[in-house]
Amino acid sequence: MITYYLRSATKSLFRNRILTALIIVAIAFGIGASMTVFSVFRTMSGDPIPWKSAQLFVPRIDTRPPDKRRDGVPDLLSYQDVMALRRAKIVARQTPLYTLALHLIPEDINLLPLHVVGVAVDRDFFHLFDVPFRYGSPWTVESGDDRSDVVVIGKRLNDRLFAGKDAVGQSLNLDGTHYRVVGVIQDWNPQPRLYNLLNSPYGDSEDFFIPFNTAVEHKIAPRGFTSCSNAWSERLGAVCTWILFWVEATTPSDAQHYRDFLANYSLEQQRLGRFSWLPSASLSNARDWLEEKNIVPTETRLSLILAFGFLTVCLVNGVVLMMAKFLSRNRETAIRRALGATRRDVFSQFLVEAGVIGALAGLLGLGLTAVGLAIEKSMLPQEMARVTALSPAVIGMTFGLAVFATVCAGLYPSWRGSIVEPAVQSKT
Amino acid sequence: MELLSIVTGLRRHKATSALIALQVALTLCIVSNALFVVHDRLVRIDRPTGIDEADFAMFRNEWLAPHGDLKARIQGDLAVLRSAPGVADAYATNGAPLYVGGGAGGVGTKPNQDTASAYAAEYIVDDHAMKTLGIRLTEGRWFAPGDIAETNDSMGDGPSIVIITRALATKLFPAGHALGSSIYVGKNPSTIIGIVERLVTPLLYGVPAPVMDSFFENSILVPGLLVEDSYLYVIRAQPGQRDAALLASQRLLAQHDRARGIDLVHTFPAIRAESYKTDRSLASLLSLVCALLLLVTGLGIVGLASYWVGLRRSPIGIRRALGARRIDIVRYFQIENGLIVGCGAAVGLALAAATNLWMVQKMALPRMGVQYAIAGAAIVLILGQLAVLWPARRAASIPPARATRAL
Repeated sequence: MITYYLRSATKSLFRNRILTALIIVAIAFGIGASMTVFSVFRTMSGDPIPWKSAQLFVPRIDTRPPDKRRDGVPDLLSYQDVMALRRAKIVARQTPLYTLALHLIPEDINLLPLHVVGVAVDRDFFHLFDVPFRYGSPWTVESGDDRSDVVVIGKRLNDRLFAGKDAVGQSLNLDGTHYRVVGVIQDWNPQPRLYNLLNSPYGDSEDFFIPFNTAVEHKIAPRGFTSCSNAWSERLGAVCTWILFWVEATTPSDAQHYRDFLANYSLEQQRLGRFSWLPSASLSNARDWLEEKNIVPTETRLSLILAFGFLTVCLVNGVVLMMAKFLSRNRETAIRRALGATRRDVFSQFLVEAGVIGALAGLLGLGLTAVGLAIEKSMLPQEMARVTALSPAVIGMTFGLAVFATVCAGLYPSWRGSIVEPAVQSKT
Repeated sequence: MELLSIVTGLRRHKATSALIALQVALTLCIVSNALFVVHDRLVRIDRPTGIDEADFAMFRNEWLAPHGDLKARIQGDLAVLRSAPGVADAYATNGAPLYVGGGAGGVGTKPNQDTASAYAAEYIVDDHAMKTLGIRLTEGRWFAPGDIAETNDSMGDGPSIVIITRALATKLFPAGHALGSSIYVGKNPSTIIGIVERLVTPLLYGVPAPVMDSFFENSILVPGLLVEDSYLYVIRAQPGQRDAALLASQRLLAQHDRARGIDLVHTFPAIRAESYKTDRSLASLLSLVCALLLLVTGLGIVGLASYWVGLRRSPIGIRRALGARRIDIVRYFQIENGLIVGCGAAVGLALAAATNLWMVQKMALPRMGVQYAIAGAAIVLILGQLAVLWPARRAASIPPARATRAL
């Protein structure tokens, strides 16, 4: 039966060709526009490591006096607090993190130093964020590497300096210090850059990773927004905040344990006389943190609303035109009814026709989405351009949405088309 | 009389008429809000910066440790830059207009104010900066070489003298007399020795655009030679020699002293294009979608009207046979369309206002002026009339004799 419906639906596409084309093109444009914007939005607002993010937490300690606590909770911690959390080792894996920029001094005397951006972390960083290694491995604590001049480099830098070959054991001159390469990571670039959201959420991953202890030892200043002045001694104190801290709590009870620890820590700091008030400590899950940071720009949200508004109009347009298309066949419907087709038969037949229209609109919409993404890519600022791609998921969603939306839009016209009385129309 | 018969006619197509009116309402709602946002962004993009944009370029310089005598190295660099071929003038600074980075802070007219009177960007400049930027001094004087002392990029206790922009002067001293008055960026007073017509702020990292826009023309110029290991060199090229001058200055600096990194090399047109890229892409996206939306709605009206013409062939023939002129038939369809689109537009106006209110709350968008809604309504009404014209003409061409044949 369904093959018959499909055949007759395909046939009837060619009746009222202009009307059919209008419906298909309009819905395709609606689908193309909304899927283009939606796929950009989805990547930009997405969770880059969904399998891991529920277990990752950012502890925060708001040390400001209660009457000065405005504009949300500060994300960064002071050196003293970071060291206390790090020493306590309440969870198995944790890492401090700060962004730094150094100059790679080339062997070639004629070349200017190259500006490279990296982060200072503990070795657990690579485990926390599932960083894949191409060569070598993270530095180890046992060998004392976590406080020596070692570096893990990103794929881009490895390609540039060592033509993508195994660089483990090679030496890099960064700001005059020679670092030994212990690992090279694979192509790894989670978007948004969850682990370092505060320093441009979209963009390339870092060129290099060095041990936190080593960075502090060399007094390498943090990049990006911090509350510190340029004096290094101030950075090692308890006042100015410049380090992000990550912990992994694999079970809810671990997380609760950590919360209790933070609360105790705050109480203790007050008792020790560091503050005359109680610092407010909290532990945020990575997903909530991402949501709280609200990194998706207004422009993208606006475009999303607009695109779905446009799709709605296209679908209403589809309802109107399908009404016209189906109702103009009243005479034929009446004859079918007179020959024994039930209302239900006629209704399903119209609905199958809507589905066929939707499938065609989906195909066209898919092409338009591809075009839209290409345009979007050329218009977005560079650091966001790479988040747009036509993935299999987007292809499936585009097609599914087109068929589903068109069938929904076809419900009312199909019903109206099917309530024809057999007798009335066949009289003439 | 005719109106009554049109309304009666429409009552036979309640659902379809209501649907097309709904489509018009949604179209109006989207188009007027989009028009508003597009206009808002275009105005934003067009804001003047106050500087000589065409010949302006900049790059970041970072000294490698050990720094040695930074002051002497920077002065040496500046001498090299100012004599570089194609370079008209140059200076070292902490930030550039529209460029990401730089500093800003609260300004007061009294010492130790609880809340700042205004926010302003703080630029560290020297005696060459006026010529380099190409800004216009409207009152007072520019910094003399004797005013320039070694400084870092924090404002410390406050500089003793400053030059401010006209916008900031008006904001801080609405009654005038800004020149010679004191402002406070630290605990010490800073005397205003000059006022420049306009100089816009850099883009501060992490500060949302609406907040940035609220003090876009508030800038304070602080005299000093910036001695830091990382800062910007800005140059003004001789007319038409910008790109060559930018290359030459980098090359000469590298030859002069290699222990440095140079990056973030930009010409001002590139900075301008990059900083307004999202605005421009949003404006073009909204315009494109609006055009498509109007096209879809227009074609929808054509499609539906054609269908109605087909349905009404006999009645139209009868009317024609009874003496209705072609123009009467066209008028019939036009009035019918006007009624439907008019109802849709009325609903759409309310919908547009509600949508804007919602966006004001959710996305900190400004309130939409009523002119955008009216423009939107005019657009859909005209669109409706244009769209119905072709089907109406076809209806009018139905011969009167058709009436007799159908029976």
